[in-house]
Formats: sequence, C-alpha cells, structure tokens
Amino acid sequence: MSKTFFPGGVHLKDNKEKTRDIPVELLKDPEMVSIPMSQHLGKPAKPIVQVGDKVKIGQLIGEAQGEFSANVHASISGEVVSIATVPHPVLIEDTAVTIQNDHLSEWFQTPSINQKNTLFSRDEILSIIKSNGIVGMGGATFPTHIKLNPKNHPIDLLIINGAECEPYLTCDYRLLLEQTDALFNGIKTILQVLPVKQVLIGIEENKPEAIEHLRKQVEKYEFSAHISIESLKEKYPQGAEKNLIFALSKRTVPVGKLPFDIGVVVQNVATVIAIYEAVYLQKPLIDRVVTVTGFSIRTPKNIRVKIGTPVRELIEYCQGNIEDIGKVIFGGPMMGIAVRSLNTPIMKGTSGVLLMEGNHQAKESFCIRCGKCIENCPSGLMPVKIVEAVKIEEFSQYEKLFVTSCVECGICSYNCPAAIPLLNYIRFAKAEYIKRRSQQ
Amino acid sequence: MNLLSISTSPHIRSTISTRNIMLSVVAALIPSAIIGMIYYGWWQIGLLIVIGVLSAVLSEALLQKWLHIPLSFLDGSAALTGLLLVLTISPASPWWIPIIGSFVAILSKQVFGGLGQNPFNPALIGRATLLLSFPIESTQWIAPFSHITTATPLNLYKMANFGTEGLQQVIDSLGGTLTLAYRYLFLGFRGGSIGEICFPAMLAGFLFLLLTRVVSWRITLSYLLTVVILALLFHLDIVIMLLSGGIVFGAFFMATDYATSPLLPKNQIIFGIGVGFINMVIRRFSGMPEGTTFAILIMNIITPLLDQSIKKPVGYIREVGKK
Repeated sequence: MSKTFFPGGVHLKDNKEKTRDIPVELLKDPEMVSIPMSQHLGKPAKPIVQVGDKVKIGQLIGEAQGEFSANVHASISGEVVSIATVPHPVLIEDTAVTIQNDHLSEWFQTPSINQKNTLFSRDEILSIIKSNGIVGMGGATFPTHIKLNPKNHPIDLLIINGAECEPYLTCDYRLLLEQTDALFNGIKTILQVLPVKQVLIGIEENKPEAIEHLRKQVEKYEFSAHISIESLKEKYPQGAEKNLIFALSKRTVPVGKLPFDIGVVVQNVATVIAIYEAVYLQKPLIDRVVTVTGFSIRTPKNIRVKIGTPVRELIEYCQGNIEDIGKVIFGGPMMGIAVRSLNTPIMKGTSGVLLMEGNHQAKESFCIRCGKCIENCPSGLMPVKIVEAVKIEEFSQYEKLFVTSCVECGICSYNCPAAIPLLNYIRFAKAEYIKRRSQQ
Repeated sequence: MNLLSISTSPHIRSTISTRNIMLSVVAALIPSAIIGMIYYGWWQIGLLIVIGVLSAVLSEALLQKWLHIPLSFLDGSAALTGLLLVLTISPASPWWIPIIGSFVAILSKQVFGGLGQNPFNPALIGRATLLLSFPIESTQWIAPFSHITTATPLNLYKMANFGTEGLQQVIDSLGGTLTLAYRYLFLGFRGGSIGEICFPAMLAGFLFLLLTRVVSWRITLSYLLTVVILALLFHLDIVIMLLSGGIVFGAFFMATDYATSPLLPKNQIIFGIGVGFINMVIRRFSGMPEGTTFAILIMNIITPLLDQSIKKPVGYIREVGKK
C-alpha cells in the first residue's frame, strides 16, 4: 500500500515520459557563465574576486555573509569579465560574477576520493558542507549546513525526498537510478552528523523502477536495516516538505514551526548527492542536473549543467525553438517561476527548464462557490475566503485565515472552475500581512 | 534585451470549468427529463423544457445587459436553472408557467450580482413564486400515461391524517397492494412534478455527479437520513416520505447547489440535517402536504451564517491561535 498525505492534494498528469528513460547528458561548458550571488535563502554572498581575475573551477568567488548564507564557487575556469546585475528568477535582478571560459578546464582543487571520508567528525562534515556552498536543491535553497545542525532539537527521523511530484521533472528520478551509490554514501554522511535510527526515502509510485532499484541496492550498505524505501501515491504536492513528512510518518508540523521541531530533517535527493560529492570528492556545488522539456523542445533531456549557464544554452542544446519559445519556466509547471530573459542563469535550485505555450490565461469569472479550493488545499486553508478578504480589504481576517500557512502549491488556482487566480490573491494577502505585522 | 512573456505560477490549469460543471448537472438531469417525457408525453414535456430553458437563458441575457453585469448567459448556469425549474413543476402546466418561473428564478439570482452571489436557489424561488401566485395551475397533478387528473400520494396520505388510514389511501390509489404501491412509488407511476417521480432516473444522475466529483454526498445523505429518522419518530411511512414527493429530487439536485449551500463539510452536514428537519416538520404539522421547496429555501437563509465559520489549518494547535 502506497502512503500519502491528507487533507487535500490533487492527482496531476505527470508528463514525465519524454525524459524519464534517457540517461543524463553532460552539457559542455559554455563560453560564459554568470553566477548569481543570491542562490539561497538568506543574505547574498559577497563577491571576493575582481574583474580581470583568473579563476579556476571550484574556486570560491562569493563568500557567505553570516550563518544563513551560502558560499558560491566558480563553475568554469577563465577570466572574470564583469561583476554586474543579471536577470534572476526570484529577485528579478541580482549581482553575478560573469566568467569568460578559457577552455583550460583547470580545477582549483581537482576532485579526488577523500580517504578520510568516513572518518570526519560531525563538525568537520558540517564545515565541509558549508564551505562547499551546499543548499537545498529541490527549489527552496535552504543552506544545508543549517538544516543538518538543528541546535537543541533532537532529531530521530531523516527523510530523503525523492517524490518529485511536479509534472515533467525527472532529474531526481535519473539521479536515483544513476547515482545510487552517491545517494547512499550521502545518506551515510548525513547519519554521521545526525545519528538517527530511521531513514525513509519517499518515492512516488509512478517511478517503480527507482523504488525497486533502491530496495535492491540498499542491501549493500551496513545501515540498510535503518533505511526504508517507501512507495507514495501519485499526489501533488507530496514533495512539499510538510506533506511528505505526514505521508511518511503521520507527523504534523505545527503552524509556524519547522520540521526539526518535531524531530525530522528532510533532504532532497540531489542535495544528498551534492553532500556526497563535497565530503567524498571535495567538490563544491558547481553543477546540477536539470530537466529540459516542454512544448517547443524537440529533444527533451536531462542534462548536467554548470551553475551560471544561461538558460538559452540548455534550450539550444535540446533543440528548442527559440523563435516560438512561449514561457520559460524554472522548475515545474505548478510552482516554477517564469523567467523574463534567455540570459537568466541556471542556479543551484533550478530543477527544470520547462517551455510552456505563451500566455493563454483563462478569463476570471464569478466564483460559483464549489469549494474545490478548500477541499484540495494541502494546508487546510480556505482560499476562497482569503480572496474575499483581499477583495473587501478586510486585513483583520488575514490572521484568522492563516494566510502565512500557504505553501503556494497552486492547486487552488489550478483547479478553480471560474479561473480565479486564487494564489495571486493569497500571495498579496501574505505579503500585506507580513508587512503590517512588521510595522506593529 | 529580448523579454519573454511571464506569468505567475501555476502555469497549468485543470480542464474543469464553470461550463463543464453546469453541463454535468444538466447531463445528470437528462434521465429524469426523458422519463418525464415518456410518462407525460414527448410534446407536452419537451415543449415545457424548451420554453423553460430558452426563457431562462434569454432572461439572463437581458437582465445582465440591463444590470451591467458581464455577459455570461451561455455558461450553462441559466440553462440549468431553466431545466431544474421545469422538472419541478406539474406536467400539466400551461406553456406560460415556465416562462414566468424561469424569469423569476433568474431575476432572483441577478439582483444579487449573478452567479454564485445569490442567497436563494434560483429554481426554487421560481417554483415557490409559481406555487404562491398560480396555486391552481401549480398543483394540477396528472397520472403518468393516462394523464387523468389525480392527487399526489403525499396529499392523499396527509388528507387521511397519515397512519394506517393514510397508508391504505395511498395503496388504493397505487395498484391495490403494499408491494405494488411501493413499486409504483419507486418507478414513479404516480402524480407529481415532471422530474421528481422516477427514483432510478434521479439516482443515475446523482451517481454520475458523485463519480465526477461535482457534488459530495454530505448534504444529500444527511438530508435523507434526517428524513428517515424523523419519519420513524413521527410514525410516518418511510417509503412514502422518501418517494412520494420532491425530497429525493431536492436532496440530489437542489440542496446540493453550490452557491446556496455551505462551503465546509461540517456545515454541509448541518445544512442537510436542517433541510430534512424543516421539510418533515412542514409535512407533518403544516397545512401543506409537501415542504421540500420551502425547507431548502429556509436553510439557504442560514448558509451565509454557517459560512462565517473558519476552518483551522493543518498543524493548528490552540496555543498558536491564542498567541
């Protein structure tokens, strides 16, 4: 019996068939990369190189500013040609270090098996993760060294997120199949930091090969008794942290709290592999696997790309039609962000590049009070009431309606028969609520 | 820099639309409409349906134009209202009855701002208006096939002051034996409104709505269960209560109307119980034999009140709320 969460959630057509069976290809290093300083939650990193500097692959170019920040490294070797703003999916614009490729492909420190890998102390591992700029690669980009170090919160459950509930995306699926050993060694590393007795790997049942493969491979590891590979029903947004925790452990994260408050740490598959690469191979987070797919992409693929590669290169590599490009989305169709320029660089949290047909936004009509937004909300909210409160500017209602509990999964807008963009109203309410609260 | 078009997430939408939902309900009513035509004549009933639907759509178009409401008369909701109205009137109604009924129904919706804004079920407002304004035309019942003027079993039951005497009256009018009477009631061989008579036809439509998840079971089930419990309590015949009036039609297609029923599951159950309670009180204690229309309309008034309640989110604990 596959597990799942409730309340809410919807079954989506997964559209993964175009890329799921093709092995990951390596995109050759581009002529130029623009590496944003803000690829994580928290303060942007500070550039520590200057225009004209020569940098090598893996060299630190942006230094984390404070605890909740992350280091940024050069992903190609070459010359720093500018430190200026580039298009950014979330911030619209952000300072980035642009490097012109010298095609020497020189490493700052060539990745090599670190013999000490399993002998590191807890603090050493955390410091390696921190210095190598590892952040949550599922999209939230929370600095990993913080997440793995929940001070004063006893952790007893580690969850590995392989749900990949967004349609179209298959990058985590390919990683599960192709980098299984890296995954398990990454888990081993995490267990050195967080000595929990239970590890659950959650994978949706539309990826049976991955479930089977992992169940077979896990036997090789001495900690296999602590690991369970769990099949999940196909239901969006199962990969959302709180929903995944409930689906796998029936634990509920209280409103306003975080998973570590209930003893759980969740790590995405790609992040675990990045942890492995940092600790075992001394390789910073300088590349990632991205699913490139969508309507005008002729050869959809999963490709390993260097952080900072302009999205245009990925689309051209997959024979996308640049002339009739429509919308370019970073991430999946439900929560991804449409970028406004083909020069937008791939970042640590970019799991997919999805091309969707242009703006055919359905016309908003009257709410017929069908209640589907309430029924399907995975956070148990009343989206229709939030919309009403926004429309009549009843700010006092925002708190009562728990607007900040919204995870922006988008199901309310997706399913509204009247095509009301409910999530946009909720985003407005959230922003307004936070602004007003901070003014008090 | 060449800018791309952007929009906020989500970037996909389900195929569900207002029109789909309205047409699903229309489809769910088709079995009942066809039974109506078979039992009472293709021409007579077909004409009433066409008149009712057309005048509803036309009324909506004119009223929207006049009230400066965005035109949406083709979204299926007006057609549905027209169809619902016709299915709740007498098969012997003259042609102008559905015109007035549909117009009033649509008016009652548009004066509050249109679709989703109306506090009362439009079709039932239309029916109630007809019942009060044209009592003779509205309660002229005929038997299926023979088209002979007849009384509804519910009326016979009430006139004889319920009990065994009442049951006997119903049996005498429907086949002569209890089994046969129940069979007649089940299949709709009795006087009544066009769409409310044949249980299997209504059930087929309702199951379709349940399976396509257009409606939930909550209002319907709590409504019907309340009717059964009160029938037991009032010593009334359960089968007659359920199958001789408009309760099943009301519970399947009227009380479940989105706009006029509560949003939250818990409140939907309260709503269903309320409708069932008022309905049975009217049937048992008022001067009218039937009470479905008014029971639903009265509970419609309470819907906005029930909708004041706010659901607690996932992970809510009391301290969080108090903070």
